[in-house]
Amino acid sequence: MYGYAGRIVKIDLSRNEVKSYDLPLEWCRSYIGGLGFNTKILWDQLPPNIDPLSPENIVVFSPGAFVGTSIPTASRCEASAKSPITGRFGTSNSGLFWGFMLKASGIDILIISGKAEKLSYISIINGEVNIRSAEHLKGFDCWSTADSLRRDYGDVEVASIGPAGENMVRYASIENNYYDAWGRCGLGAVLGSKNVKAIAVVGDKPISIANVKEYEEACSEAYSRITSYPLFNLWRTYGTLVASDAYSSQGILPAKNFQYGTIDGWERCLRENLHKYKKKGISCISCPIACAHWVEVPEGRYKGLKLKDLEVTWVLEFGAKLGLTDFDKIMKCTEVASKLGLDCCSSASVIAWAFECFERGILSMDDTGGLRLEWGDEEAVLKLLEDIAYRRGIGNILAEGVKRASQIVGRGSEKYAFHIKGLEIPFRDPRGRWGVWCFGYLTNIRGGDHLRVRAPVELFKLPQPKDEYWLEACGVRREVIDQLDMIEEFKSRAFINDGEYINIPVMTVWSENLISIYNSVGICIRPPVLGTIGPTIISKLYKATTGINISPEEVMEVADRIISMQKEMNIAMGETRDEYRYPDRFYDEALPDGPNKGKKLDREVIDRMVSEYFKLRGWDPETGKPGEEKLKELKIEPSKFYAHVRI
Amino acid sequence: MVRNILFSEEKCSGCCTCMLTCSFTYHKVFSLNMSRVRISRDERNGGFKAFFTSECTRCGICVKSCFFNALKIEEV
Repeated sequence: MYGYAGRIVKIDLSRNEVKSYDLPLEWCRSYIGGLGFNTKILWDQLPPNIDPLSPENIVVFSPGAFVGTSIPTASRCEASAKSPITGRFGTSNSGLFWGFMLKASGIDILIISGKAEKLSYISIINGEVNIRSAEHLKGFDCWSTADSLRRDYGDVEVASIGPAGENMVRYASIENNYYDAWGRCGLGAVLGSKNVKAIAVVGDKPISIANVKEYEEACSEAYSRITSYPLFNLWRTYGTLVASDAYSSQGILPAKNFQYGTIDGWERCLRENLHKYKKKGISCISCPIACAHWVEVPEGRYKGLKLKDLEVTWVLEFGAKLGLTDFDKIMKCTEVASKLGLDCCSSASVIAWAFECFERGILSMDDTGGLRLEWGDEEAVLKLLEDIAYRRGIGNILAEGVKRASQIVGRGSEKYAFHIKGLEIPFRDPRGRWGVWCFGYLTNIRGGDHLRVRAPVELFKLPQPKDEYWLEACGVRREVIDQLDMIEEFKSRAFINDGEYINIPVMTVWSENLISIYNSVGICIRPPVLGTIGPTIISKLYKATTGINISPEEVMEVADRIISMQKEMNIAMGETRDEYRYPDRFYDEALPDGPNKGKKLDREVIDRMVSEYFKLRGWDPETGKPGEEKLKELKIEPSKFYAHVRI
Repeated sequence: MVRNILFSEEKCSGCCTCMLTCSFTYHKVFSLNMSRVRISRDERNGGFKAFFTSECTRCGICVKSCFFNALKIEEV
């Protein structure tokens, strides 16, 4: 096979057994790779009503179809399982070199089922898979685990869990070496429940491609498109930190658990300060952007601290959300959370909830074991991160995630728990800047999250019209829209009034589909890619790489297929229409400060938009169920667990 | 005249595109192990080093492929 390794490996930990299968050729066309393969595996093999932390859960890792080649940004590997935080289809994506090495080990899909008798790690060395004792790694943080396995095996890539995963914190991450992670959805807890401490992988099997000339042409086109993106140099210089300035100027920071949209001292966290910390840019394999920063603290209490950080999610989550306004303190939080193996958004959100509860007298020092919880106190944050990872004191409640923690504490604390479908929501306040990004928090298959629904055009240049929910001010020049690699029929519906506005439900469907394809071919969602790479170029790259001819329309149909399968699985796992709503504060309390002061959301209008979104997807407008007809139309094979024809 | 390839650790982002390009140019496959240029990554400390295998002819394909100008040809 070209592009693919051609092999599925299934590890049954309960039986201490490793089996290998050929990758079915027809899966390539129907599911492409990465997220698509994971969706197919869980559809076929994961019973819906199991406890996510039981041996019945299944974890799947699949690198994207382009991973292993030199296609720009093709480094991404998807990990999926039933999520212990949401109880639904849980999935997460990470770059760097791990997915490349899995493919270079001759594996397209790695399935882990059952539970090992003792703490174990999985070694995959040049394609040879072994389950080995990890008793000597028990209690190790993620960095020490990677260090130890690298001492034993040389330059292996290490996916590991820290104390948080071992203790099954519901939002524990799987760390990817030191500074990257499969962060969201608590997949680290799932590995912990299976007694899997780490997966160390290195391989040297060459990846062949189908057509050298076509590949070189398509790859060169992709590279030119990405590097010609108007803001490419800005992204190379500042990475995601470009958003810090935009959020600050719009007053849509998640300040103090979304109580405010601005925060005093934020000027210290704007991008102009990055140069004081940044030493160089760091890339994942095959990436021309290098959005990640190698940073060092030059002075003060944390002087000498160095790591890959100041990615905007950490800055806004551990910064504005918790009242911290200094890069060095945020970096310290990143270091500790990464070592412990905790998801950034979920851990910052649950701590922010605890801080607000403390501020309002719902939690007292009796509850916190004598710890005073005050905004901006990084020592309290660091203490809580440790307590969460080791499930000590109040940390044992916080380890359950904000939805469950607020239900345990009660006393009105549910009102301050910011999650959608059980997943803690990220850092943009939807009241101040409504659009595809925030509507996506609702529609996202994995719950309150921003990484699966992002429009290929994201600019804040024009103000959002007041009380307008269906349309988003676009702010992008007409010629940029004309050049977008988008199916024309979609483009004509997504852009309104000669590109002045975006139709939010239509663009939400397009964006979800596009990102699902990115996560299946294994490319990155950074805007220089998102704004330039669409189904036409993906179709060319796919044909050149694999030799399989698939049209741009068929590429997008794959997305439709896998999202409908995920939705059907979520419904079987208990998802209801009622869960498509924001936390009450966004509807009931107007944004109190900043340039968008006074704005709040309208329940009724947004609910109608959800129905419209379901309708656009061809799902039942009330329940959101894809249903028999839609599944048949998408040629989805029924499975033992999820099917239009129940078996 | 001797042709050298100089490496700037400061500019290198560790993307290893040079290695992928080298193996593809000479072997028509992607393989980090078949590349004549090698980037070793000290990820924990953000450091990278480059070296060249004995098969390397200093053809410069890695230099052309580098997105970050971290490799440079020097004629001495």
